[in-house]
Amino acid sequence: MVVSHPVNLLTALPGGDPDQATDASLARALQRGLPGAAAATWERFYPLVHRTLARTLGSDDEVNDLAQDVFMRLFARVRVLRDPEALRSFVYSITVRVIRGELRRRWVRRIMKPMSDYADLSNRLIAPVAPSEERAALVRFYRLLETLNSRERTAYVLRHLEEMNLEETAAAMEVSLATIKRILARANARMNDVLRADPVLSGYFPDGANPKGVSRA
Amino acid sequence: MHSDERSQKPDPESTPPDALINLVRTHVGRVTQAQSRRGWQLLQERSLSRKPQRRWLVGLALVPALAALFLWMRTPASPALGFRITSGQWDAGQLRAPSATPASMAFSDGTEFRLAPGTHGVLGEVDAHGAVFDLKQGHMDLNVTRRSGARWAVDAGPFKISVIGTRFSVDWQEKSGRLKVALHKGEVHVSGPPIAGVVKLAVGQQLQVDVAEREVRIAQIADDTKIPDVAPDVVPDLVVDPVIEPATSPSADVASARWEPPKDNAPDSWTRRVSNGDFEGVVAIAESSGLQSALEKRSAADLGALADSARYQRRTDVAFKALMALRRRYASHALAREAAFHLGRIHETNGDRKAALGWYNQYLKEAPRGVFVAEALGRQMEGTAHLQGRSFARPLAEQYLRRFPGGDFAETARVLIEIPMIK
Repeated sequence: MVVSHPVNLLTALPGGDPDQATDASLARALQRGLPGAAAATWERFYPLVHRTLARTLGSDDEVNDLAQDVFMRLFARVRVLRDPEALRSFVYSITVRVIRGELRRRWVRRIMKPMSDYADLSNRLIAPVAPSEERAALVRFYRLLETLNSRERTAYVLRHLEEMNLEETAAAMEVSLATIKRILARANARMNDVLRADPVLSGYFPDGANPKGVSRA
Repeated sequence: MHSDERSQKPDPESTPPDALINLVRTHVGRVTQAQSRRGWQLLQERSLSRKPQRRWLVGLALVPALAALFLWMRTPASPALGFRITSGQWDAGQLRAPSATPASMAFSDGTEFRLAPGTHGVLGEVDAHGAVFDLKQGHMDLNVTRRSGARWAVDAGPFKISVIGTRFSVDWQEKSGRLKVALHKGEVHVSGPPIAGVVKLAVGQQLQVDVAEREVRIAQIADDTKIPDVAPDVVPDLVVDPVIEPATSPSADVASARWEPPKDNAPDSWTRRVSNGDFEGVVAIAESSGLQSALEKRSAADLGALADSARYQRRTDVAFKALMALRRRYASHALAREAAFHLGRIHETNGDRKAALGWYNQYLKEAPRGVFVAEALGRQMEGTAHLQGRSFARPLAEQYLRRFPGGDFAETARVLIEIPMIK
């Protein structure tokens, strides 16, 4: 079995340095099946895909598998991508579909699984360097994120954690601008409600008390 | 760009706290070079481990599905209906009519909603076939354009009013748990406790339900209350005529008592302030005049108003005290029974599912036909599944589906019942 790291394959991409390749040239290379294109795509987009999956799902037991699902789908479907410039959006939209599928599956499993299990999983996902108080806050945050439905949760993460603007969020979610505004309004209101009700996380609001003395990053 | 948009939002409450968002961004989802390398290796192994000799079998099996998919993709998806707010206050999907003027919205298929002064509700999902409107409080008139495949619904508390194409009005008083539906044209179906099954209203009929009293009536609409094609600015209150038999007889007894408006006109009435949306005022008055004194001296209605106001203001500390005072001082009052449900919600929101379950149990015992029974039972079912496992929750799921087959928790109940247990 041949196992190569992407870096070893990048030079095969037309144009020499893959770091300089635009998304469009990468997409065209993928569509033509050029050697090194898949590896370069992985190198460029894996952090984005992994991060989005991790931040949305808040657990790491399936993030790696799901990231691979995203790329398998990407490589299988890239030929239908009409606008090579839109490769990044294409990657996001596939990631969102995978996330929503996973959240639907998880919704069923959640009924059978105590919340505390997810809290532990969230804990494993957090960078080890995070102070314990901040880890606790993050675990609480992901527990509260469970109160959103799959659409609201995905939109919330894309907009606030991935820093997408409204148009980008709508495109990734494949909904209209008006719809994404309504989804986000509901998600924001619901999250703010539960965040404010949380004795630790309410301290992160500018006007909120900080009863546990949690430091604000 | 992102930060600009956020800063331009009129309501800063609608965005999450930056400090928390930054915390998540800093610590969640980091990828190391080693992780990336390992992921790439796994992806290659996964690609190589596929068995190409069997692909044709898979392909053959997929032919019907692909054909269906192809046909589906060739069929252009119908766009969702467009809508515009013609009057009233629109905020994040919520339409609110100010206390003195009505609100209205119009959809691209010609359907119109008109909200009487002081009414508010939330527009739910909108698709090509129609929309769902969650009437939170007040009175609304609907003129729904009849067309093939149309699906419209109004949710009002525990009730669901399904519409095909019609003109009708809905009045929902959340506090008293009273629903009125008057049908002027077409057909509507109404379901929800205490109605057993579905009530189909005929033209000219008016349905009235008092949830607390388990009272269901269907009467003729008085001629002078029929709404014209263009609804008036102020919708008159409906007058009840002698009772007639419903097309589908609901289980509850048909009573003859007339509806009466709440008799609470005192100048300092907290319930009146709540009905006018002055939640801040109620909490402020209670605190400025001494919260403890209010908890000890105020009427049950005022304590209920204070609890509601505090909940709406996210002052769960005050809401909790008001609800507990209701329970302690007015144990036999209907509001005290409702307080048990709200206490459960407060505990659930705070993450204390065990305490929440205790209050939901208490509410279901005290108010087996109460306005929040569907929600309490659904939440009890979910909480039991989380805390004790599916086998304990299954009887609750069966009970829920028997009583509320179209309820908000029906899907969860079906999952609990239908999906095989994992060993």
